[in-house]
Amino acid sequence: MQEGGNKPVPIFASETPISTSSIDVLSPDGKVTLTMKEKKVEAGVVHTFSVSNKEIFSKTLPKDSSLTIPFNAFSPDNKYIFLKKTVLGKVDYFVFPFSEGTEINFSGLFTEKFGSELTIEDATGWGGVDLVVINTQKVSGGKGPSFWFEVPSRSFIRLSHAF
Amino acid sequence: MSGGSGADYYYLPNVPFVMFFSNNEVAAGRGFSLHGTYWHNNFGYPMSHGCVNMRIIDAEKLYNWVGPVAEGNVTLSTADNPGTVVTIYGQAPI
Repeated sequence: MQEGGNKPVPIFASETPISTSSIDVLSPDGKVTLTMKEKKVEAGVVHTFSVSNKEIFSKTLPKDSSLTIPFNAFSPDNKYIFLKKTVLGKVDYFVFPFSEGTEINFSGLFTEKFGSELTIEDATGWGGVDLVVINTQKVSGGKGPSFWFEVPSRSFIRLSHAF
Repeated sequence: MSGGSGADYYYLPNVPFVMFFSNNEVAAGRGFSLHGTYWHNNFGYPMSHGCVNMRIIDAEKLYNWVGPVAEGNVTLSTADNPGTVVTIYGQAPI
């Protein structure tokens, strides 16, 4: 409260946008545009994603974190995207199915299943309509095998071929 | 487009914007080409035994830029309608 003469004047706390930015990413077939808008606020950064001008989800991350759209983000049929999130140096990848409206953090699922043996090095793209390509490193050191993450079944398929 | 054998056999119908390339070491009959790709989105990583997989939007731009100028469904390069030189750098990935 501030004093304004004899009458107290309320001051309301609010999220004050500091700056905004926007990027558009076109799907490989040119049919769908993904737009990511970033709005910096006191609490961090609000990321809002839209597909062909329809908002699909929004996420607020703390400052000093990032949410990025990889080059091969779109699934070949434009039903999913995968994104890379970095918070305090920790990298997570997740898939967002446009039809379901909820994210699937496959980094967390991978750690639950293989965490004692392997870590995700990177997710490179889509090997098929619902298969994310994952490269790994061995916890003990050295390059690990590649995997597909099959989105509908939330399962991992170990590959004989390393990407 | 089809090829390979056994576990490597592939059959991919309706591959868009196909641009075959060959020289005196790689015969045209081997079927190597640059082309649009609809079955994966893992560009920048090895996904083929010889073809150059491209995003459809990129393949379309290239197809409409290079020679020979397309005349119908299949166009072979000729002296009057020459093809564009394709130079491949680097080595095949392991």
